[in-house]
Amino acid sequence: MSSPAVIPGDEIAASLDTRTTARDYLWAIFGDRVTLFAFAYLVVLVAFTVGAEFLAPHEATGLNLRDRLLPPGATGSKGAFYLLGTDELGRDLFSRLIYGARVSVSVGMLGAVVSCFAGVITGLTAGYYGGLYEDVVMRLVDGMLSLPSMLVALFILFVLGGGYGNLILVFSVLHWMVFCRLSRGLALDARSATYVRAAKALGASGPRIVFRHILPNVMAPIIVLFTLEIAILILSEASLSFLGFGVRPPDPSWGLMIADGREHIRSAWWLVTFPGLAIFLTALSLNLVANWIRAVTDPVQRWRWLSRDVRR
Amino acid sequence: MTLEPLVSIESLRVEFPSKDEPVVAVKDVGFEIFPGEILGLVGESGSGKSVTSQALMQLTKFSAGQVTRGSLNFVRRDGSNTDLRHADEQQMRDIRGNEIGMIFQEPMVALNPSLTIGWQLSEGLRIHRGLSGKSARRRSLELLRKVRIPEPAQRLRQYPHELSGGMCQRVVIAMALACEPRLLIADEPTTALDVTVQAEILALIAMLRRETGAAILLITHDMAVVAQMADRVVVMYRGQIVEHGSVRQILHRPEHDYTRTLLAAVPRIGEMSGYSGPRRMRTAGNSGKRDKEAVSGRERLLDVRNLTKRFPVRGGLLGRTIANVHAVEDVSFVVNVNETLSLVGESGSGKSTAGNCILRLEEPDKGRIMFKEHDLLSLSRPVMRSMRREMQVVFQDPYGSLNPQLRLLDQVAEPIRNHKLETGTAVEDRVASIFKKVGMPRSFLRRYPSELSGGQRQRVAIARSLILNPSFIVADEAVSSLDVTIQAQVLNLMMDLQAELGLSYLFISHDMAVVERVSHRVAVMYQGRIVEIGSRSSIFEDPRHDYTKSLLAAVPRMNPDIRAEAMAVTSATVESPIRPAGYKPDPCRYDEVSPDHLVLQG
Repeated sequence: MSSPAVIPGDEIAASLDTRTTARDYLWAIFGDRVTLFAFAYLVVLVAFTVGAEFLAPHEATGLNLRDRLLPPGATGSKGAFYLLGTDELGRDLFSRLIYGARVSVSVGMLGAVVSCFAGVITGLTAGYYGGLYEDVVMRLVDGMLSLPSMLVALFILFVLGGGYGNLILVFSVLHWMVFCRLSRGLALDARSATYVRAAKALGASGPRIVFRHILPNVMAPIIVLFTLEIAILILSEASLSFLGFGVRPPDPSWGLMIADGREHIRSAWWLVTFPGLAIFLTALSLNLVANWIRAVTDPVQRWRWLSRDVRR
Repeated sequence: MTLEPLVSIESLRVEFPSKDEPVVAVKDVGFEIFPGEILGLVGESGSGKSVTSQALMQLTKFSAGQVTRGSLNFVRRDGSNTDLRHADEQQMRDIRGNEIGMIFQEPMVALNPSLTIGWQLSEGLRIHRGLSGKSARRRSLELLRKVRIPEPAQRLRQYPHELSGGMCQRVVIAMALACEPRLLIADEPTTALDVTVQAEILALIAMLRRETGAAILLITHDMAVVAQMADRVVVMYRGQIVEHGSVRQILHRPEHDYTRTLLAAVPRIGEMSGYSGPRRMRTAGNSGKRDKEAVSGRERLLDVRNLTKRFPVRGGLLGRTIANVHAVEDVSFVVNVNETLSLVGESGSGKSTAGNCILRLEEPDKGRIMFKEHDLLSLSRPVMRSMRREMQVVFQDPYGSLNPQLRLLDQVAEPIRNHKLETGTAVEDRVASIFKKVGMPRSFLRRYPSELSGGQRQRVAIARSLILNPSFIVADEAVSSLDVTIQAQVLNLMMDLQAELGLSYLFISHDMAVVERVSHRVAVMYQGRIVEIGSRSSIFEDPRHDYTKSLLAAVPRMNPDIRAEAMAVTSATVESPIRPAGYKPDPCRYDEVSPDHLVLQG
């Protein structure tokens, strides 16, 4: 075995900082059981939302009154197998969970995407340009953050009516401020960085500095917030649907399923348990993944997570 | 010497785990420290000098480093021997701060900002000596007197941010001395300080050594500091010791090639008398041969008149301006074609702000800046952006000034794209040709900044500033954060480019020796004003203003016969450039002592 190379000080940093390949990231995921579980769960969830028609064993809205309230693992009248049991209208709970994932996850995802775009664009420009524009944007953010968001959401949905599109609209209106405030802080910080001053001295225009120079350097915390926001929005969707202001029956959503199931909570525990578990696991997995992204994108911490030697 | 060594390090090896194989930061290092001596540990960044000292305190484990071989023998106060490599945590706590004291590079960071000076000073005394509150306070006061801090009783109640950098370093030294350690490790103790403050602190350390008899391990990259302070010197390079010996031996008769290169690369103040223009630095290949003098043009390129910049200090209920920081006050100067004008001064003198104002990275409050035939301050933003093709900037921090997320190609091509000058493969060709000019291989085009060393990054930053063929470059402390050998190479590159392309530089620096080497003309700044301006020879050989004189006197000389302990331990108080809101400063009036040599009146 050859002796290790002598690389002192400055070059230690350089050698640790070399670019990481996709293989390193994969290795890091597989090396960490908890994160691996969270990733696997999310992959399955996304597969369900995309391919619900092919993956669900039964139809989500197909009534079968002879198979009402069957417990998990039961076999129904026509020999159908119900993995997680059925609800009071004889619909397969597992299939409804899969179709419900489509609604819950996509509402959370789209809501987060729209509010992220709106918040990051306003926040970065406010932080970089400053002045009256910044004051107006930030006071608006302060004002909106002090509104009781659940009540406002209920009010808007009451006026506009529930449903998929309106839910996303409400979520974007009530959540862009979080992204705005974060990106404004990041832009303020980056504005005084030397590379930004250098870009300015080289004749770069304002939008170019904001989106080409600052944005790539502040992506990591924004991605983390984005992941966390998805989890929060899935939970809000569940609450709103539970209260009857979200997705309308018979379309399944996790919150709606809990709302429907609570009448039978004494006799059919599975009706609230499994949707609740799905919401809980999704939020938990998103939080774990967010945590992992934060760690591996931090140049100071990254090598610890990606280093094979240290892990062993 | 028949004395028993206080510390003896034998075949020390420190490794850091990394992605592939462990990185060896220190390899087979061994030396001794005797009681009461100052041992200088010199080397450039990455030489392993700091890691060696951290191994003594078992501090490497905080950065995951492991001592994998060797012994670190330390003679305790009670006469017993301890191998610091194997000492347990209990023993180390007893030794750290008590028997071995430590002085850090950044005094402002080494002190806890939310605790008073008095509390921090007495902490060690309470832990190690078990002193009560009252007697710890009395001892703290005594220590502050010892490090010559004015009004010590008042300082005990203050917080670190209320003190200047030099004051903070005195407090750090007092903390290190609190338990009368037998060994003091000083890791770059003056690197972050201004040169006049550095002289004070060095004199203080030398005097305290005499008073307390503690041995000092002085870690530094600065050969001149070593020359003034050390008794013996150990030179490290790439984790190994290349040479050790007495200070005279190392400075006068260096044996190893690396030591010679290191010594040659250091500019020595006063060695330029008799020359009028700049001269290339000595590097390994070129040692002191007489170069052709670069002659500057007489044609005016930049004419700055009465430049003034104030930063408002806001306060009170309505956020009114209650005071102004007078960063740049009535500054006027001229830069001719193919000429280097240096702006020198200490931190807070306004030299960087002046540079930023000229480039309009900050908007000045008053004044006129003529560049060629354009009045820069009257230009609209779009016109100013196209003017930036003509005037460029190189910043101090080679780590911060490159965007970490962009490849070097895109980094350097940025100005071409901003001004839409070329497209397609022409861009890459142009970048490659400028890379060649600054001595970077073409294969680096697709790399990221994090894969480069500091010197390489600074070359890329220079390439980026040159790509549009500017006629004027502001070099804001462009070589200050580089190692001396790299600094010499980059300075030579800048001087070669000046000769080749006819560039003019505004060279902003705090380093008098470098300034002497590169300038045609020099302006000395103090508290936002130019106190003296003139040709290089008139400033360095015939300084007239008191501040210029004190600045020149404070520069450490590379002469082991001029010792720091012989200097007076003073502590100058610096006047603040913050003035009340309505304050009207006098305009700058100058005496012309000789043609083109102006000195501020009063």
